[in-house]
Amino acid sequence: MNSKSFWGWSSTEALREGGESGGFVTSFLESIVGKYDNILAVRKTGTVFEGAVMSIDSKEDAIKTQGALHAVCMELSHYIKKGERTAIVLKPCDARAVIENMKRNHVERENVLLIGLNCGGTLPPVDTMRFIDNYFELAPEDIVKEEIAKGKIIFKTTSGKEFWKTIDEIEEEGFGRRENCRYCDVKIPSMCDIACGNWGTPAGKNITFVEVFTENGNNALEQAVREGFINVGEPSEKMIAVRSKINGIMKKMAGGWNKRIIGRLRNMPNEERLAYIKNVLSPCIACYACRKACPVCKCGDDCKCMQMDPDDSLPISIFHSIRLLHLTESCIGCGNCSDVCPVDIPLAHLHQLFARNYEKKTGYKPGMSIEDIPPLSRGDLPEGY
Amino acid sequence: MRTYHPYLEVICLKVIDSHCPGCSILCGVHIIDDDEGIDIEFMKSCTINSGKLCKFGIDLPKFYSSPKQEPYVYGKKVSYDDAIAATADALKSWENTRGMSEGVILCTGDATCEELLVLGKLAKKADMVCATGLGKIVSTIGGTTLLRKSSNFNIIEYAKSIILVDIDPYYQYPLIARKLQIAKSNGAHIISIGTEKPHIDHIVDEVKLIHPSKMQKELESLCESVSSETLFITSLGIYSDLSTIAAINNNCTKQYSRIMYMKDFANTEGSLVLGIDTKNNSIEDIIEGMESGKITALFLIESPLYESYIDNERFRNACQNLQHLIILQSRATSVPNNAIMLPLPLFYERKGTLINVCGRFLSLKGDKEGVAGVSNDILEKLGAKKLSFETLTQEAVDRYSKWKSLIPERSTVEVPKSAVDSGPCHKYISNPFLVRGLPYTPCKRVGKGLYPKAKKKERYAVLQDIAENVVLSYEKDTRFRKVLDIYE
Repeated sequence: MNSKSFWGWSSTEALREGGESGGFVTSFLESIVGKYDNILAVRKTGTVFEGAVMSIDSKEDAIKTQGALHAVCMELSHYIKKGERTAIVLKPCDARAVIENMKRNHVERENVLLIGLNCGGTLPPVDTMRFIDNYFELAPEDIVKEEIAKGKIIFKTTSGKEFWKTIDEIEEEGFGRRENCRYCDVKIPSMCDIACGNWGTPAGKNITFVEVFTENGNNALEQAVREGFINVGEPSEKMIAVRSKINGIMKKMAGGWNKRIIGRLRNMPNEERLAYIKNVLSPCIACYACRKACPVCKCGDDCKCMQMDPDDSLPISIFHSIRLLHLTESCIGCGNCSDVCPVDIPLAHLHQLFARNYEKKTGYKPGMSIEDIPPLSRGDLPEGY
Repeated sequence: MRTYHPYLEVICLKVIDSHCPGCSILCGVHIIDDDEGIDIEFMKSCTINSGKLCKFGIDLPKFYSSPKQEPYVYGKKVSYDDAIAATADALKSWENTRGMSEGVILCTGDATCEELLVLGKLAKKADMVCATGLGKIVSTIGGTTLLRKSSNFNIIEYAKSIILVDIDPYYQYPLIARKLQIAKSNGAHIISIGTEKPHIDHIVDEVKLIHPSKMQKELESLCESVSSETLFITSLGIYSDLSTIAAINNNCTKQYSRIMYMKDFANTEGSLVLGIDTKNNSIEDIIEGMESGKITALFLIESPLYESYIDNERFRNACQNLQHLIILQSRATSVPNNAIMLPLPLFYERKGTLINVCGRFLSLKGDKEGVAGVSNDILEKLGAKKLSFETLTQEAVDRYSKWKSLIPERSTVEVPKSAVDSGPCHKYISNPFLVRGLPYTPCKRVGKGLYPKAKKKERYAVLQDIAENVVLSYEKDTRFRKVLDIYE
């Protein structure tokens, strides 16, 4: 189906006030309770920097997930179990991981409802806590709400005050969004059933811009409206254009970061690049956390990357080489591997270096559509590749 | 009108905020417990580790999914209540022979502060000795000097000069490797002194390969070149060489340098803060006591020494001499025919408090009381008053606060002679797998002189940068007694 756009908001006043952008997502989740085996979202467990995955079994659970949590960068796609009807709230990178898992037959498309959230980037929690301490002398528990809007990161405190800095300023100082988020160019999760966000909503209006991409999403939305959980309205052409423009600006900024981070590696002479890769991989402690955290790596212990003879003098080099090769066609750039690496190897940059080069040459971008067949499976790689 | 069901709370995905029990860093980790078993989720908001974990942390699902201990009485599987009744009977029998021999309650540190406090109270009530296996080191150096109060790893990140003594973060405490990288990028000069070149070449400026027998002398010779801006980092555990620890302590005392003692068990720090050791026994003292008949009763709590002690044959034989052997354990271990075995909840299932290597007070968010619960069941059987868990937590908080306000005193001590002679020696590199009796597969490594012979005997012997005459192991080697014969 052609995508449809709406403005949506909760029909419950308390959720309109307490939830993000009119509480649309919270009320949408309420509307599907009992209709899926599993409904997954992230909920706050302490401060706005702490969260955990939640399996929503009641409307009260749904309410616990309200509010933005940019600094709780969890990857939920691996909680989807094959054969279970699952609805899941996710960022574009998580959604791309789900699509990749569908291609590998770990998830059935007809069994999942993907509720996407537009994403301009997430924040590393510990660094962000350090940032608010350094710049605003605030403790994590002083913050009741955080928001990324109009190029700023805004923190609201228990006393009702707002503290903010522009994203550019923060990132120049070494804080701000996770590096992989900065160069990520998928801001609206068009591979989902619906995508929600505040781009394209009129100033001062507490509502959500919802884009519906599939019949499945459309049916769920219509049902939520019918049952009185949410209200929808038609967005103006002007605001649709505004949303598109914001998306364009975000992508342009991502392109700048891509040049700065990945481009730097790409532009190195071959020998220098190889030396760089060997050098950054050398501290590896063979914990395999990168593999564990990777949402598209699902081979289990049978994977080629793990089949190393302890006699081998270079087991770790082989491990990373195999992973670099495997992920060239499937890395969705979520950055989880870098996040969890105990020796801070910039693994996401390395994988994206290869994946983006591959994308440039083959036109294949992983995780965008279940219909896209990877070139290696199609067998039509460009000549000489 | 929509209806809400405020009491409807079906949880099919249990997420527990926890800490990895692998070592005293106590990395934050979410434990996910659902129908399919146990898994982990990275806790990126934890300021200790930012969600990062080492190999042991990544393997926690396997660790926690291994068979749980079941109750046994003298080799026979029984109900939990029967095992509690048998324990109460054993304690009564012990009371009747009070004063004739010694009893020891040994917990190496994989227990919460509340559990450690209960053990202390149980030891007092039964007139037993409470031990952690570190007693000798504690009595020589002083318990409070073995602790840190900085609450974070800034001490490493901002150190100007770092000396790693007999420690390879790659295998032992991988999470500090990152802190050392940060220190290096901040301009620190890093020296490693030990039996092997640490696997973090990219950050170490100088490596000194030393046979363990020469460590003390090497450290003494360093004394003049260290300063108050030097940070020593070493490993402190039941297999540590007291002479090395004493020599480091003396250097630091003389030059006002700082020390960070990394520890092998989850809450060793807590046991030191709470002053659990009552007689300052080492494991060796305890085994000798059991062999000589001086010790006739042993409570072994979450200390898998029966499996993991390097010379476990000796430990098992010594246990056979005991009149009372009571083992409280969460993960299944072999069942001695003279023991009463009581199951404990897994580490993540427990509630309670912990203190990590930086002196940070942490909590476990499970719902089981562990040793405190089992102890209460025993006390109930004995007709004694139960202990309130909340009171134990309050006591832990009070004692932690008191410790926080103390200024540790450091003094030079007499350095005992190293227990290692200068010949071929077999050295264990303590790590979370080794101390818990789990398999760990890094190659066994040997020094140059022994390599040609080792190569013939063992497929995986690999020549690395190892001190002369040293064989290194990372997991328990059942051929401990024979291993040097192989190379000689």
